[in-house]
Amino acid sequence: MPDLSITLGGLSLDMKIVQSLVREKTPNEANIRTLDGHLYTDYINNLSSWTLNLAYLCEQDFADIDELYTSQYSDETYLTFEVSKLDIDTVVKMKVSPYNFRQDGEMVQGLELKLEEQAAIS
Amino acid sequence: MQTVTQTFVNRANASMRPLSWRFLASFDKEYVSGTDFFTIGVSSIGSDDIIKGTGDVLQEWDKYVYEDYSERVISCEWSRQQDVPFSVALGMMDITLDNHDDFFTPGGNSVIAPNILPYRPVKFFSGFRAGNDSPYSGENIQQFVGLIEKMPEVSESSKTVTFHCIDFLSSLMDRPMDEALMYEDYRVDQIISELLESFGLVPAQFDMGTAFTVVDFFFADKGEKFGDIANKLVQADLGNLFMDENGIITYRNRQDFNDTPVYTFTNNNIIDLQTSKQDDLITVVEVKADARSVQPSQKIWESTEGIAVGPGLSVEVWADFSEPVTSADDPLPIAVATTSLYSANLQADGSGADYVEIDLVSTDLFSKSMKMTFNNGGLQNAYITGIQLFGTPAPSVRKVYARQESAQDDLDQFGERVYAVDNDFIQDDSTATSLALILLNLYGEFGIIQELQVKGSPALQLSDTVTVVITESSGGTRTDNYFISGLENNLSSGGFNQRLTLKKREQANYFTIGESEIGGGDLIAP
Repeated sequence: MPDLSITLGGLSLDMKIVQSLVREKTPNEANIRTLDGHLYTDYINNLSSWTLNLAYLCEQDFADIDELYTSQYSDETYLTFEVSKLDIDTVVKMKVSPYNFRQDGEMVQGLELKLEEQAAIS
Repeated sequence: MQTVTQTFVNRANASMRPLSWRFLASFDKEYVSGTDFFTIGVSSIGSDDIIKGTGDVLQEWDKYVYEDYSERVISCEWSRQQDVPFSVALGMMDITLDNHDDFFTPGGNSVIAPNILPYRPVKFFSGFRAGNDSPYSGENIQQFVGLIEKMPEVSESSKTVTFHCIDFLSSLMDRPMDEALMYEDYRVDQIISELLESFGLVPAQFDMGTAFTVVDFFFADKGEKFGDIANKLVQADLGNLFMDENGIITYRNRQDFNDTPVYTFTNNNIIDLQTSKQDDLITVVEVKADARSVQPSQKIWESTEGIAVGPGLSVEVWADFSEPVTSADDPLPIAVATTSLYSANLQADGSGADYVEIDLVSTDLFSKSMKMTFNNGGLQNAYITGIQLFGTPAPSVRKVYARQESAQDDLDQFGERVYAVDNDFIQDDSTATSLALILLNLYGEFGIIQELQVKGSPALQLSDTVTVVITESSGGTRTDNYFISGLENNLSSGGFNQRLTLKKREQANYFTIGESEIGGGDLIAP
């Protein structure tokens, strides 16, 4: 893993728990074909989204992330997302994938955070 | 077509078209700083100070401070349609905005909530930008300026609001005349100019081309709707009245157009094509009118009731006329009058002694009434026992009628497709006949309408001439020129979609002395 510093909603993520950071660009555009089959595109912008795959999380790390997720609704606001090495400084909405609790309830396995950019900045 | 840069043209034709737009609104209707209303003795003629009418936004929509809500735009549809054979084209726009925070919810808690009301001025622009620029910072050209017509539709489920907007010309259609207006021998464009100025518009807000038709006597009564009057005037001239994208109310006669194509559509930029319809074909034209005509001087009003006037007092007497009048003689005492007269007596029924101390002080003549002020300079109670007014009325006395039909072959093929004209601004049978022949000449053929969905350009305008090249299944091509009679535009995440209604522009050849032959096909111009 590259030596990244990732901050989400003000929470610095310990790089030991971040397995991967995958970026996806989704174009906000319409592709149209004319009578002779010619393709053209009316384009507005590209929206980015990121998927953070997290390794085993201890109880505290999970609680921090869960609180972050809940804060979007309790505080009625999205989260800031910063990765300075990749020149990312934007606002995202966070979704959380299904996850496993270990039998002792103290570890969470396979958590995936899906971050969707609010506005096409990055 | 609106003037744009070559860069704009290139982007409109490119394979990758980065879209741009702007939406401005003046919800609080605040004026630009420094704008003052015209004050006699202070403001200079020709200065920027504006004439304060009713404070109505119709007078100077460019003087308002507009806020930018471009980032809130989710989608926008705007359209203009020109009818045949004449047109008062009205523009409209529906714009949907992001309302996730209830910013545009009427009665809500946002700072502008109290001002989410009808009749707020708005502007919309559309265009293209450089790929990396913000969608709001490209080369945008104005597409619509007008008013929010009614309260918005608020969707709580999608957290959006939709405003329905009409252009300023649309908002004028139902507006009643504040006063009766009367003109003799004015062209249609001159009359429309006067009507617009009566609403407080300034000449800079409209562009009237020269109409063909002169109305011998025009009369519009107080309370009549501008739309009803304008439709009749434009129909009499077979012209086009519309508001352009920049908010200028424009009139063009039926021959005022540029037939040089500004755009070419081929299978390379046409997405969908629908062929023509028969609805606009005309094989019979019937024209009727009750034209007004100014009559010779005659008695136009009479009063026989006794009107009391005390010594040293004045009284106002109003005469209401059944028809508009262009002139009325001031009444003179019956002993000396030759036309309008009045008589006075010591008794209300006129059985007493004649009384000569009542004088006419002043008169004010209006289009359908006259105010007379009489004064009793004597020492006795007296009565105005009779008043007769003579003047020149303009009743609807000239019955106009003309009926023209297509050739029998066309009647046999298409049947009687009647276009009826009932328009009192058509002044005589000759004009009516010429109008009927023009309509048959222009609209007597089938198959002149096309509807295209195109990879278009926001720069296109109504009446633009375009070339359409269709590649047929046989491999050949068919090329025709049309004019744009309808524009429907849509901007959303689905792109910039444009639907054009195209019609063939037929031209009537008018009789020209020294060139045309007697009995030839050239028409007498009305």
